[in-house]
Amino acid sequence: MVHWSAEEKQLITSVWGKVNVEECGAEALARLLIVYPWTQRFFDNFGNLSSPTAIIGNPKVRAHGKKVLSSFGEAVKNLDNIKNTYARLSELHCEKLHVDPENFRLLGNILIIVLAAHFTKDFTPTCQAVWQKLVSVVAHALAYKYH
Amino acid sequence: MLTAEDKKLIQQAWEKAASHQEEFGAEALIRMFTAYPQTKTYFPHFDLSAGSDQIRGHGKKVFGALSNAVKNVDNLSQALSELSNLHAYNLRVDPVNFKLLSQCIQVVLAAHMGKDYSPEVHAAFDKFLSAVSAVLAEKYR
Repeated sequence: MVHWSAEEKQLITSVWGKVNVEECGAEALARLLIVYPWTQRFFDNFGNLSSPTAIIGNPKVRAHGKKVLSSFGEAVKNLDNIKNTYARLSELHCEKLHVDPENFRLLGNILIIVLAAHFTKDFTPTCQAVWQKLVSVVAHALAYKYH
Repeated sequence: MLTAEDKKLIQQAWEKAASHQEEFGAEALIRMFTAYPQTKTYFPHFDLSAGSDQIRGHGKKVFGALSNAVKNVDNLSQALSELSNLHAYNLRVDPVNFKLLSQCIQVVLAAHMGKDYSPEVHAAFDKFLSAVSAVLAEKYR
């Protein structure tokens, strides 16, 4: 089980409380598809992903981004039980979606950059460190049931 | 790799960082040491406490080298040749750490540029820092 200090939990929940999940999720997923275009391989049925403008405006990207980040919220709500929280999703990503877990790390790092751009100087080094730890734990949990 | 548009975006964005080299460089290092404590193992000879002169000095050096890379983006291998030698034969920093510092550099840029760190600029910088990292590691073996 991952250990979170009281300060770490505080930094996570206070940042999360100010996040607009729909906007932030849409932005994070759009950036993943733009910065690492090979990740588009999972989204053949999303329609027009031909340019950054197309990706950012794509309603399926927005909707899916919101879904993904909402799920991330489950980790924030269950910091002491992240592995179990993602057990089912881990199996899904392995057996049905066939997603290389490296993609979870890529998205995690992108999320951090989105948070930095949004919170600017309030996204302090300590804040970043805690969130890097969180995205790493989530990525690990999502990969845990892979076989 | 880097398109003409990428290069333009990088140079434009870097102009905004130009007058903050020491500050941004130090911040990137501090973020790296805080988020990835294992990176401190390369600096046993440094005072890593807050406000350290050594961190400021080293941050300025790192960003100075990146400025040079931005100016010579069409010929990174040649422009960074000495640094490439240094990293391969002296410093021998494991290349996995280049990714960690790249992430922190991007966080610094994003934190200071806010929404100006657009997806297009983000993509261009990610590619640029990848290219720089590859050059730094190219003589390792």
